[in-house]
Amino acid sequence: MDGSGSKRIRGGQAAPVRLRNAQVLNLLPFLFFLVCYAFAPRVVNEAQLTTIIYIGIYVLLAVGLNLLMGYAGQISLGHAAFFGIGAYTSGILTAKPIANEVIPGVSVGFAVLSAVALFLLLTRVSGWKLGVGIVLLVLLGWLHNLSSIAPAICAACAVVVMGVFGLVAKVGWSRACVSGAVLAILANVSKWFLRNTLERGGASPWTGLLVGIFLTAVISYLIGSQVLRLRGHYLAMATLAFGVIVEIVFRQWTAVTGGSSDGIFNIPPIQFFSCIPGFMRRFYEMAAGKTVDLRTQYYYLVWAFVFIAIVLAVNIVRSRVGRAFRAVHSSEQAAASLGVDTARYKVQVFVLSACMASVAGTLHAHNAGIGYIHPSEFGFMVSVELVVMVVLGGMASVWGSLFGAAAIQTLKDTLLDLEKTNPEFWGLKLQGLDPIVFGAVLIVVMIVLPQGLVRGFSDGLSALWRGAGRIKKQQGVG
Amino acid sequence: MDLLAQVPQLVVSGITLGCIYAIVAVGFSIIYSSTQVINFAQGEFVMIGAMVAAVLLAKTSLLVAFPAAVASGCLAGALVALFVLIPLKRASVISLIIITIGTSIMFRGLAQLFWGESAIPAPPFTGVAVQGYVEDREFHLFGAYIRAQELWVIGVTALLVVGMHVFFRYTLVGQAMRACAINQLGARIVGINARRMITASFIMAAGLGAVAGVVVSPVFYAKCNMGTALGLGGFCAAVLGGLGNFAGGVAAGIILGIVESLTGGLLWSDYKDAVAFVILLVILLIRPEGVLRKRAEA
Repeated sequence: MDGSGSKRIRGGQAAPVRLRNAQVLNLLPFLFFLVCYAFAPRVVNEAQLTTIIYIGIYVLLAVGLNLLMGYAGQISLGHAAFFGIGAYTSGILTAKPIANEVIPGVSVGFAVLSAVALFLLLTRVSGWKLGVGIVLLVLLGWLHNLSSIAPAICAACAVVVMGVFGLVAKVGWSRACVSGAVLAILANVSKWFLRNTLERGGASPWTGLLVGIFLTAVISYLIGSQVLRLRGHYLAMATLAFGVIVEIVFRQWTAVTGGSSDGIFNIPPIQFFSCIPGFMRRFYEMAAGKTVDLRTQYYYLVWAFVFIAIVLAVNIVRSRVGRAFRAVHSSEQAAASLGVDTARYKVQVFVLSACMASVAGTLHAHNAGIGYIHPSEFGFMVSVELVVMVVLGGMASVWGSLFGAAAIQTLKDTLLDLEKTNPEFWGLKLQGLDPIVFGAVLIVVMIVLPQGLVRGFSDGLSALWRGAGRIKKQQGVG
Repeated sequence: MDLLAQVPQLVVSGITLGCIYAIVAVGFSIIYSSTQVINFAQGEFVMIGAMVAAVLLAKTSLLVAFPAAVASGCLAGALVALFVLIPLKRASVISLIIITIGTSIMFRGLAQLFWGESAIPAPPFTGVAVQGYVEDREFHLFGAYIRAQELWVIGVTALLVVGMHVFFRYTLVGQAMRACAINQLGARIVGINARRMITASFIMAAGLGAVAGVVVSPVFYAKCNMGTALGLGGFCAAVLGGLGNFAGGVAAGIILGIVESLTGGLLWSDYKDAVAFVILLVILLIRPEGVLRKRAEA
């Protein structure tokens, strides 16, 4: 203990040189990643490119979930819900605008959700005050839904009622007022926005992306701020229940989501080349070595997001916030006693990881040449698949998530190809093998390599290395 | 049709569903008190029992199907126990959750592989054969039609619950299991094999689930994905009644079944499947401090 401490201090004097080396070493994976990113379309064919796009989408999901599971130690078995919310928001806005008669209800619902989230964020209340606040906001929202009352009166009502409630319940009248005002503003803005979208026959995918992120942030904040008080099994069950509820909503809310029979189709791809400067376009064309078609374009877009997500995740992990996450992971009580606001950090990482899932969802919905989403793509099995990716790649390893997502996606494709040949085994038609294989992977990895393949492998190597060193030293002494 | 007239019928089907929740809740409690593990595969035991029974009932009699189904459920339980026991000492809560989830989806996948994705109907135990098709007897009571099979479900549940009580109270093995649950180290000092008790608790919970599956297979059709919903409902009941508290879990299970059936039937028929999940979420959110305090004590 003492020895290592003094070593560290001595090392501190030589820090500048060492740090530079370390920085270069840390940058290497990113450089390698960028080179692969740019030149991949030269070497792969069309089908492989499609797989790589899917891998990118799942890497986004896995990196986000890993921040939550691996670093902050909070499990989520409903992550596919946020994936779905991103996909559906963007899909609905671009390809299947909400019908006129549903618009008031949807926009008021959206406004109420946002207002409740803001109310929670600003006042941080719980118990009966929270309950009454929510009831009031819902009632005020219902007021907005009545077309007979002028919007201005509704808005005034919302502000005044919330202000009075804030005074009476001693939760800060100005903050309560703000949430009332936001309710009124959002209800009207989203009504106007949805009508406008309907008239134009769909919004741009970028708008869909942003709205999706916003909606996901609101919902994940609402859920996270309540659910993350739970621990272990309870948290797992609660997130699982949330995920299943969202999937049922996708299936049953046919007026908006198209239900489980149709889904949403003809979602336009994101045209990303029209938004970037000419020199970047020329760079991409040079890198790809051909004119960049829609699919290749989409590949570049998805993996650009992946790159951003990985840089973001690596930086967060190494920052003060990342240390706080890990402190929460190893012992929540110890972290709290040292002044880490554990509740806040947990909600933050939950919202961040949900937003990453939402971006992945939007990218999934607009996938070039496919442009189709269906509730079954966002069910419990998908949430479990995401957990498999994180676990396989290794919890608390950002690059591991990339590996895990790639491995699982490849495995899925292999299984699909295998099933296309209609294999039989002792007269049993082998179909729908994914759950069996994934279940087995989960069990084996958790029992044999709880750190995941990447960490387990590198730990094994370093143990070997150290073992070899020790032997050498012993021989030298002898 | 008058909505209120449906209430008795909905209550009856709610009680049937609630009985299954109750048995699953007892299963959760048994495993939780011996290992502090929530077994996410609990619902799959019901599925396995129901599937095996439904497949065998089509060919043979109940006397063959019943033991076979329960035996395969117990086997599944032993398998889960094996997977959980290997890393139990050093594993975190997350990894135990992941292991039981892994087993759960594996069971579901295997069931789908063997018996397909579609629902399998099973003939009722005490039915009347009508033109090659077994029709269940029906009783008329308080404006509701009660099928004989539903009486079977209720009766078997009552029998199981009483049996469990007697087992844990009066038999040596049951007392040893309780000792393990209270203090594992102490139990080991007086010579109780804790690992064996843990395995036994998994097998028992699985066997219970499988029995529930067998009796319920003629009521709800056996389907390979029925486990998740039943497992979550049972967990909800177990939390409501207090984990480790059998009587509480049973009462909560039956209440939950009735509430779910009534809200699903009268209010939101589109979102009928979501009711149990919403209740679960609400309960976890309203009483987290109670739930957590229990954990801290344990």
